Amino acid sequence: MAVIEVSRVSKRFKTYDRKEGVWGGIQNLFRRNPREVKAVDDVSFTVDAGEMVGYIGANGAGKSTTIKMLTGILVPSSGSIRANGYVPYRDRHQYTRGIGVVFGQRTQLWWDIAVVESFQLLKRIYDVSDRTFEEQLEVFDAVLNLKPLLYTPVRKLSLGERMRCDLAAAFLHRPRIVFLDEPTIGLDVVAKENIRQFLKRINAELQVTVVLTTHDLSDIEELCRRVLIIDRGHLLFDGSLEGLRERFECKSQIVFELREPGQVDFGRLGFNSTVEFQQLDALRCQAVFDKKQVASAELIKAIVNSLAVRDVMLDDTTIEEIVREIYSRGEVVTR
Amino acid sequence: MRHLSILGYYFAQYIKVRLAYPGDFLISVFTSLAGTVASFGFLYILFHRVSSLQGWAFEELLFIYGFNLVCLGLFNVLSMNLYEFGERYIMEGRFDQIMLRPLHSLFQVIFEAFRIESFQEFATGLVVVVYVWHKLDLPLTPLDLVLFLLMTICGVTIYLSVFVMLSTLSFWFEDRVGVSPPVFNMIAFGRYPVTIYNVFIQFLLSWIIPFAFASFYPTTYFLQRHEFSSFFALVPVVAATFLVLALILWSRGVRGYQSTGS
Amino acid sequence: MTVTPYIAFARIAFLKILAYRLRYYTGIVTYMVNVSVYYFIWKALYRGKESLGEFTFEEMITYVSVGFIIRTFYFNNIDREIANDILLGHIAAKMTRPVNYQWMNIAQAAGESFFRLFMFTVPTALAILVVFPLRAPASLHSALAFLAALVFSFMVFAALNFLVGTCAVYLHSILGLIRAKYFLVEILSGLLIPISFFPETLAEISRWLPFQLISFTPLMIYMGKFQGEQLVTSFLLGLGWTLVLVGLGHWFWRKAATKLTVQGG
Repeated sequence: MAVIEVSRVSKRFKTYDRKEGVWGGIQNLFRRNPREVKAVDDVSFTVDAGEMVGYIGANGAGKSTTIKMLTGILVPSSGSIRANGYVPYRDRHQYTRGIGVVFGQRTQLWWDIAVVESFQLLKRIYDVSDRTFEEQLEVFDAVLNLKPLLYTPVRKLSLGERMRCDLAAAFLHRPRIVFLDEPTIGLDVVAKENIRQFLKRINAELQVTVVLTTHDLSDIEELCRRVLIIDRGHLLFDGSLEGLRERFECKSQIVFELREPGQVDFGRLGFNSTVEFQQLDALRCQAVFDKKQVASAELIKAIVNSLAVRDVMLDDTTIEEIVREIYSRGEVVTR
Repeated sequence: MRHLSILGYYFAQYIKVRLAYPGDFLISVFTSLAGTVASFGFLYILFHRVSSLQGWAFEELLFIYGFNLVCLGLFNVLSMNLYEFGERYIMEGRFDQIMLRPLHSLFQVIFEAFRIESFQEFATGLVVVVYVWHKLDLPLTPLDLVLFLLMTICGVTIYLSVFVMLSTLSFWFEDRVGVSPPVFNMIAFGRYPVTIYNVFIQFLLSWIIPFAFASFYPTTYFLQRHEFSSFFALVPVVAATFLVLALILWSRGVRGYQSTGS
Repeated sequence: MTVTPYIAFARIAFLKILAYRLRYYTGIVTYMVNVSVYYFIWKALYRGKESLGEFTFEEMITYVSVGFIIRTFYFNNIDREIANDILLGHIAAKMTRPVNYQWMNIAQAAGESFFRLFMFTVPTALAILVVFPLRAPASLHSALAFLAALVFSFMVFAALNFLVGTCAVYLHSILGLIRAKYFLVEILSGLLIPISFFPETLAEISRWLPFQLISFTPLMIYMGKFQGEQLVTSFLLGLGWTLVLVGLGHWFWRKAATKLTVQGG
């Protein structure tokens, strides 16, 4: 069942060009040049209840604008959005009661007061009952280890600690949909892992629908079955992570290390037409191939059998490389 | 009711924040008080050679000034975020967060910060009003007290409405708009009998930016200047009208924000 | 001390202000409002009187108007800016620059004042001239001395603001202090009421304080009420107070900077 339906949505902005320097500044006093920018252009997708979807794109690709439209902050210039049974911008008051939002760059907690006081305030704003409140805090504490942070003012928290609190705040009122804009930005490995565990668990246990944007593709790899890729306002890909891999994972590479230094005769391996070999230095060699043509197991077998090797490493194309590839091609792929 | 309980909570939180640095808080109360004393000093210096202003005695002016301070003090407590609305909320993007919560956006903006030390102005104003009331031996009935309370509420409402309207400009203009300062300075006009001004300014203060309805006209009743009684009767009407206008303009601004973003 | 970097700071201040264009349109209105309020108050006070103290009504309006006009020139917000630098932590980066922080701020203020002179002072003066009957300076001599006195007006104001801004090192919020200073300067500088109008004790005290140099002194020179020996005394007082306040700022900043570096702000 679709909980979010986005249909042919576009968003256009007007910006003003400013001139530089002293004379330009004086000119700006009297004249401004408007210019129209299409931040999101004819985007359609649906998200089912309980799904966890990754929404990725470069800076300025239109990610944040989409999230802002989905959360009711912005009105689409054209097209329609329905989420949780509401039109977000129109039914803002009822709609916001059922969603949670985290902007990674900005906290929604009150800066100078203790975390628990912010939670208390949110509890009142969202009419959360005492029981639910206590229960939720228990759940959050179990995964996010929140208790030690509760009595600290937000401004004294580290970025990772703050993000844990912000996530808890977003889930406090048991929203049906949660939007996370760059939830792991600027965090260290441990903090990232913490947050991913939390999201996995809460998504599985509470059936919350999660839409998350990120720069860090390992977030997507760990959390999302499905990705949406947006670039310059256009939706470039909508499909499963496997589908993305299958479609774009053309080149894989194997790097192997010899026992003794020496010149290798790659012809003996018998893959001359399909694999591109290269000797990197006296000990290390590289084989680049297409997985659709060559099974990596076969190739590894041939290498191990024919050469005296100490070590073999298989290196798949990362999602990051695929995305870069997609951006450079500008190809539209939909499921 | 829900809004009231949230308001109480916002306020309690803000007090806690301010009291986290008690020394700082004391200094701000003290400096704020110094400002108030200075403004009375101005009045004193101005009148120490002249005893009246076009038929208004020094004490009567003091009464207007005191009543003005009562309203202005409460307004100052509440208006802290309004001046910085454009910068803090629109330019720095905090308004997004406001939009994500199921509460009226203006309610959130106003009640997220308080200038607590301005209670000092409210208190000083009240002391001055009581002093003049006693000194001029003005009549005091329960009705007068009720009316005084009503006038105070109307005064605060007028100030808030005017400055909310000005803040809404930030929804449309990208510049850090400096429209509030001239209007804020116009509050000073309201501290004197409108009769000293020319027709143009009298009209401006009554019907365009109705500060005379937030300080001078309300006091005329208590000072027994019955020639202004029809203006006095209009005070609640003006306050209600401007409040409604401000709310309409605000929701228009929010709609504008939704279509343009920050 | 080389001057070039300070000119660069002044230029940046100039550019920054250009970005706040609307403030200047509305600023002119603000000053018109201020002058109007006092015009009507004085008009009511002068009713049926030829003169009050040593001022005729016309002189009083000239005093108040020119007072507000020159305020558009000497005014600056370096107290706020320094406080922001300190409270928001930009100060660390600024302290690493090979320039004197106090002079950097004064240079920025000068850039601001230079800008205001054209974008703000002149339009405000024209607007006020159209509406209110102002008098010209008493003589060419007075006019020149008046312009010279404005230098002290600027320096005293800037140096005071620097001192107030530096207090942010010891406080968490400085708005209250800035407000108090604002009211204090408004009254003791003679901007709102000439110092000669004050009750005697207060007038006597004010004559020895630096605040009068901001407004009262240049205005009295403009109106030709300060001449000869009194003019010389005023300039010496201006020079003396400028040196004292800048020196005080220098000393205070060094003390504050030590606290900043030791405690990390």
